[in-house]
Amino acid sequence: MKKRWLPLLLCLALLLSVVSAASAGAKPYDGQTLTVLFMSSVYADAARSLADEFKEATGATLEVVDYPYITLHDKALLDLTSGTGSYDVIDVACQWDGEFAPYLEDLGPYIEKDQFDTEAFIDNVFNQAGKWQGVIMGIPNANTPQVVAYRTDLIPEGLPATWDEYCALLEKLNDPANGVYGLATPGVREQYGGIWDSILWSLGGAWADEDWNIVIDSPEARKALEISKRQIACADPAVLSWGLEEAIAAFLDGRAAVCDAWPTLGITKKGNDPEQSKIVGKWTLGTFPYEKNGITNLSAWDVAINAASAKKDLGWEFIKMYTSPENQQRFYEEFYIFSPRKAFWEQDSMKAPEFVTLRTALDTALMWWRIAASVEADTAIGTNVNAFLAGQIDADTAVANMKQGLEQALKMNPVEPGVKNFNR
Amino acid sequence: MEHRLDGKTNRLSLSKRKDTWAAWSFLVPASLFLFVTSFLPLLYSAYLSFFRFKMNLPKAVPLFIGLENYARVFTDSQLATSALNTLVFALASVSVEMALGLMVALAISGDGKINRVALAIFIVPMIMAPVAAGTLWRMMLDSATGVVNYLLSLLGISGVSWLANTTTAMVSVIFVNIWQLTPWVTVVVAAGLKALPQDCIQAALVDGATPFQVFRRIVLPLIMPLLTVILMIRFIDAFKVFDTVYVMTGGGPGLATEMLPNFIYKQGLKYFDAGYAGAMAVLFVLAMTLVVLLFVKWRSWEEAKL
Repeated sequence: MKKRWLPLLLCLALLLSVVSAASAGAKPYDGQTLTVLFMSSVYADAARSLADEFKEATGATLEVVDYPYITLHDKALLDLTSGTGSYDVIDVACQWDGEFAPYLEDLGPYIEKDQFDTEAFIDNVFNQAGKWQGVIMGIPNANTPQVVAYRTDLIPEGLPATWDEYCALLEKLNDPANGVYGLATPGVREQYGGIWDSILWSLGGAWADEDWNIVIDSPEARKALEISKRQIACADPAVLSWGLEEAIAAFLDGRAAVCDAWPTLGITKKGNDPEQSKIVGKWTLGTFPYEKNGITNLSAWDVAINAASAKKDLGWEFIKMYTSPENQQRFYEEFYIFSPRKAFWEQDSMKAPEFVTLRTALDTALMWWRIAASVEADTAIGTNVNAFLAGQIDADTAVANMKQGLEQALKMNPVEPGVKNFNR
Repeated sequence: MEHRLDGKTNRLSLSKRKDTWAAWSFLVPASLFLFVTSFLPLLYSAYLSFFRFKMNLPKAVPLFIGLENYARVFTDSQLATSALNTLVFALASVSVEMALGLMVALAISGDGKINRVALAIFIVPMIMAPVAAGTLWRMMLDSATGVVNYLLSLLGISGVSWLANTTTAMVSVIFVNIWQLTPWVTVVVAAGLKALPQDCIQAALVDGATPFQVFRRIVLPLIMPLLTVILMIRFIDAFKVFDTVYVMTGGGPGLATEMLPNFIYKQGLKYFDAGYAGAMAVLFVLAMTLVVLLFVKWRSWEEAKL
């Protein structure tokens, strides 16, 4: 009898020890997979670099899906509206915040539970990337204002303060015979619209007033079109087919005196690398002409949790990790992603003049509409500006079309009651 | 005798019924699949076309608006531009494809080894994915680094901004479509030419007819029904162009190369305007059905002439 019980007891003891050992090493989300959606860019690359750390901390596998900007909105919104929950966490471009907000999780309870410090982020950025109508639905993870990169050897005195002087400078520097144009810019209709907006806003113009009455049919809009036309005349003739990559490549190749193609998305990383740049040490960043108010365009992204996700708690762990001070610092060092955290900009390495320019601009930069009508409105602006610059339509027709496009966008996507236009 | 005839007739009827059942048993699964994947979505789009339904709005419910979406189709100036662009694109590219494809087919439809090799090389563009073809040509037409401008510079011609100019952008997308789909026309026409009865042609040649006369009086009339079908398929395909243009120009500059499929895609999947996209899709299908009926009528007429 004793002989029968002893082996059984030994087996039980062995089994218990194995189970307890496994329990001791078990992570809270073992065996789970978190799917995150990013734009195909350094932001997605940075997310991928977190895979090992995420696994170590949570036990879960991180799957990063990325799409180009031009299709990201459609992919994300299709998943959100269908309630499929294919993506647990989505990196949202701040102009989509209002449209996506009904489908994203309120992060308030998570913030309170973990005492997450929201005051650590630049106020102007957080107010436009992550917060919507008093609710925090995303944490900002990247930001850049629309600034200009220019050649210090060709423009030693810095950029002028008015658009007329700026255009005159470009015209003076424009020397196609010697392979140097005044300007390199992303002229395609999907991208130039944002640059045109910066011109319009700095002139004091706007798409609509605070109560969403369309005011784009204005002298400022016509002047902004003429300014754009003068600038484009100082650029490579192919510029209307250029995207960001072509414009940045032209500037790094020494073929342009000025480049307004979101410099932080390429020039800051490659500008002083001899293997990728012919203008090493001969460039810096500056702002668009101040003109009336110095307002420029803001690009910012915030990471948010899909309300249809079954892994919201895990998603929050990812958001905390991606936006942590340590990882935000590493993302800058490895991928040149500028952090929206205040402390990031206060360190000594960010005191160079070009970085001070960026930081100052972040306090006043604006995004265009952040409501559901945003995509249609932005397309109406970009298409008509591009058609004007291509010579297809005149300024009056372009403005009339833009007005009609904005009105149609608002008609098809009515604004929620109580929502004011705090953008332009 | 009568009894045997009745028996034979019964066996024939039974056999015919079995054949009919067999035919239907093969057809029904495929038909069901087509009905579910093609016809039902089209019916649902047609249903939605009478509603205002913005799928991106969380509280949106379909609102019946009658024919408002259809009225909007006829007053939308951007849609009119897209439709005109698509028509120009289809007419220009298909006419060149047919002429070139026929000429090349006549040249290489023989049985020689050289003809076979030439055909194999010629069809390479046809087997490329449209997105790959568009990307390739976008790079080749780049004004600064593209090989096309480099070759032109060797001839003393300064660089052309192929994709930044409203005229050259349209010419470029038409050219790429011709480059990619002329081989398809060639292959189908070549197969048709090989199937022609050779006795008429030989007899004409013996009687002293010139090659052009043989082509004009014998070959062309005989392959006209086939050419009609090819023309119909190419025309409909040209109206559905999307990926190549999307990759090469995105519809720009301005609206210079904005095509109907791209415009409908924007309304449905960018703006999530299901009703308006549905109305356009229904009208597009009706227009293409009309085109098909016209071509079928033309083909019947050509066959009757033979």
